[in-house]
Amino acid sequence: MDADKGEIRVFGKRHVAIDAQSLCEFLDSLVGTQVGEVIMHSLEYHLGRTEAERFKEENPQATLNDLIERFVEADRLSGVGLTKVSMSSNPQHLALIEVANPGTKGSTGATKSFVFSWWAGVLSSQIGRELDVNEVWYDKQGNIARGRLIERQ
Amino acid sequence: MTDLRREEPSVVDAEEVFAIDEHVRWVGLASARGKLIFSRMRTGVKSASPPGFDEEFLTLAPLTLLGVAERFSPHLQELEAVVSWYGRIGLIHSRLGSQVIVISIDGNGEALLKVKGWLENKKAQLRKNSRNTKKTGPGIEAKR
Repeated sequence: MDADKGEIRVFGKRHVAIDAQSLCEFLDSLVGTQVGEVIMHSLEYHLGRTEAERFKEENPQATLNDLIERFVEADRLSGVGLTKVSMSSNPQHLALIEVANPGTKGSTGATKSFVFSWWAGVLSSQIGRELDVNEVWYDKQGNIARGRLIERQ
Repeated sequence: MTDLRREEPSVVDAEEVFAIDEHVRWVGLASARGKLIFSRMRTGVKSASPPGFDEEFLTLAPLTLLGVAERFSPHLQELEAVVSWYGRIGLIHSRLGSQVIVISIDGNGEALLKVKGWLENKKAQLRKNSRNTKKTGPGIEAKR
């Protein structure tokens, strides 16, 4: 963060700190949770995909693990939370994303897509299969959000 | 912005929609997740929008319009359609089974009523098919 310039950058990309929880809730209140989820999915999936493609262009030798490590760190620096990504070869459960102390809490509507659709876009661009967010649940006691990504039906 | 790849089989054929009335110009279909299924102009009719615009519009705009209008549904009845008029062209947006349809008509009140009637019948037919599929679905057959 460069306070003199009024600027936040995460790995070179300009960011703006916003209240993401309020943004998600406002979107849901405007169009309903079902449509809010779809709109946020469309945006975040696209952003995740674009970010991953940009990273690979700039780092052609990077492995999938390198990319995941970089983006887990980006999540931490941008306030998304402490992210852990577990991959599997099972199409019913291709990836599990866990975010401890998540910046957005909830399992429906735009909140459901805010973090997990971004990761679906990131991983889809790298493994050559279209991923979708299958299920999201928030463990209030542990303050952990979990999202299961599956191959798109 | 959205991935435009086709995703699932359509609940309706474009020709069936064109057959409703000769004033139907264009029909588009998208999934409830905002994925384009098809976008089709009637043969011989020139599109009023630039190339690619209809496809991009279909992915999220109808869903957003319906989402806003559906906020009234708990207080009124189920939303049938959202209609928007642009000069001489009208667009009818509606959910159809698990998908979202948009039908463009050349400004004509009779054609609008025909499309409305067709939507009601088609929705009833899809609901009936869905109930029948559930009754005779593979899961139930397997348990017998």
